[in-house]
Amino acid sequence: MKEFYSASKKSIFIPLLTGCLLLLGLYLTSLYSYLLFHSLAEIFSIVIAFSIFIVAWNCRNLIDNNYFLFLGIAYLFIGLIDLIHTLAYAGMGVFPEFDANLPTQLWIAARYLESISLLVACFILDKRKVKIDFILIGYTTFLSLLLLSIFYWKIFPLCFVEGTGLTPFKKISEYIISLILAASIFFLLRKKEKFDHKVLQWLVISILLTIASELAFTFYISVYGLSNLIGHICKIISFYFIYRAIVVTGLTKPNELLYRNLQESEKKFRELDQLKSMFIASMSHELRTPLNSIIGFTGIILQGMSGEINPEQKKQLTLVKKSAHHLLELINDVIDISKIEADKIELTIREFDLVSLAEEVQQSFRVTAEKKGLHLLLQAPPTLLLKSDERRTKQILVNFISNALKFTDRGEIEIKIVKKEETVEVSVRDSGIGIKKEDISKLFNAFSQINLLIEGTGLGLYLSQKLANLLGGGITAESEYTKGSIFTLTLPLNYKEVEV
Amino acid sequence: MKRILIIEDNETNIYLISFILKKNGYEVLEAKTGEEGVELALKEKPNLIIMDIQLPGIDGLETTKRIRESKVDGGVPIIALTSYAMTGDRERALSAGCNGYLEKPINPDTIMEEIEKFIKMN
Repeated sequence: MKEFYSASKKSIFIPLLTGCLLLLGLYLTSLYSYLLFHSLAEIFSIVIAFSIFIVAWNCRNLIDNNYFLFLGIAYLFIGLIDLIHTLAYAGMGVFPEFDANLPTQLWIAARYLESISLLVACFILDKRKVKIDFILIGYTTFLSLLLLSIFYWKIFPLCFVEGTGLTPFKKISEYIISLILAASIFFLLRKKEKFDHKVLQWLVISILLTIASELAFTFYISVYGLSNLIGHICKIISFYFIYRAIVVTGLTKPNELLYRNLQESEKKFRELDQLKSMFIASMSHELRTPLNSIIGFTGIILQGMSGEINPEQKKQLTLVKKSAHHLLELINDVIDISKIEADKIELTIREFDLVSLAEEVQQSFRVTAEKKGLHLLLQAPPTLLLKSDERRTKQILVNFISNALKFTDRGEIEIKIVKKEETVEVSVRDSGIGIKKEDISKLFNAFSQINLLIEGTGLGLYLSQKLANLLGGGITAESEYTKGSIFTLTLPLNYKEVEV
Repeated sequence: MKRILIIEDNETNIYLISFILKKNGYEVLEAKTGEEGVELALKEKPNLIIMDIQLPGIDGLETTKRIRESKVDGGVPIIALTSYAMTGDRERALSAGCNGYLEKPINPDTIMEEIEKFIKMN
């Protein structure tokens, strides 16, 4: 942040210097040819006026501010009048039958339009929705009537008389325009809370410079004089500032606005995502209740407590029981995953002996392993104290071993516990079917079942990995297709709260 | 004959557990609320209590505390019935004064083993 600040401070110097040099260059051109100076100065303002329009017009759906849209359109017409003014300037020869009165008339008309637009814009600010069509029609009508009254009807008041200089109409007009501009600053400041501080500053500077330029123009006798030069330079700088105000509001601010909206929708999305997870968690809880009687009573009947059952009934009920347990496992996994995702999982951190936990798990799988003719081995130090969540650690280990048992038909399964400096590695190695290289990356995805022939929830490893991460550790998988796999859980010896 | 008190609000669960217990030669007492459970526990002095944690009104944790606070419970073993979703229930049950817990759904193949372990302990 600090670097950024200093960078932006440094960068203001170069543009400022460039700007001053350009203005100096512009002044020097006036020494060679005032007409050249005037044309360049006006073209600069015209280009800016058109740019303002282009920015405001194309950002009209982004700018949530009528003020700038209205001004954007206004400057298109101000620029057009200024363009004709430039072409009509004494010495240009575009309108041979007119004298220096014509450019002065056009000038004063453009300034009236500019000042009144700036004033009206203050009042349009509060309107909820401006009708762009009306604004366009209004300005087009004004421009047409103005041009007709100057070029065709020739009823526009005289502004400059060759030899005598400016007419009272022109001088008084400049004062009126200055007053309108001052009024527009007054109203603008009254609504300052609607503007960005910087943008408001630029607007005020721009209007003040326009006033300065107007006052300079009241003094000139010759259209080639010094006050005319100062007036034009003030005008250039004034246009530059209004351009900044509109560009910043039109291009930079909308991006901030969009970014803010984006952040808000992201926040909403997160909330919804949490809500979804909580919904699944409580839904799953309800789904478990019917399982109480399904698992309970099939167990009772299978045990023969409710009377003798024949072998066929026993076989069928065993299938019911197996399916019910599968469903239970699935629901449990879903509950855990949604709780982790909703950040609602409770960890119980305390010190326990990892080795006796492993022995307990080994014991619980002994029967299943023996039935398949597999050796279930444990290689571990006599004890290993671990400060973590015992139940979750067990859950991961159970997942590893039940996976290994599912995918291994002969040979052995070995649980190995190795203590490292600050971590412990618990690995389960099997001599099972193994996993193809291309499938290893899919292992930890939710609902990914690489071998669909073997029953599973597809959530086991996904959940185990989430749990391991929650405990500050992780899971890795190595495998050789048809030879076997090794799954390794790494946990810190001392659990520290982690951000997942 | 040894007596076991079941404090549980779900009819199906009561039927399931009491069926298994009766078949295994126990006498079964039933209570559907915590208050009723405390009363029966202190009056009938059962050999073991199976306590559902999620009860309407006062919950299983509070019921356990009240039984323990009476000081005349004779140290009866209390086994909590916990639900998988409520991860913290086990710890809370133990600290409320339960001696152990069984997770729902009840597994008829292992429930007697667990219960007898606690009865022997007493």
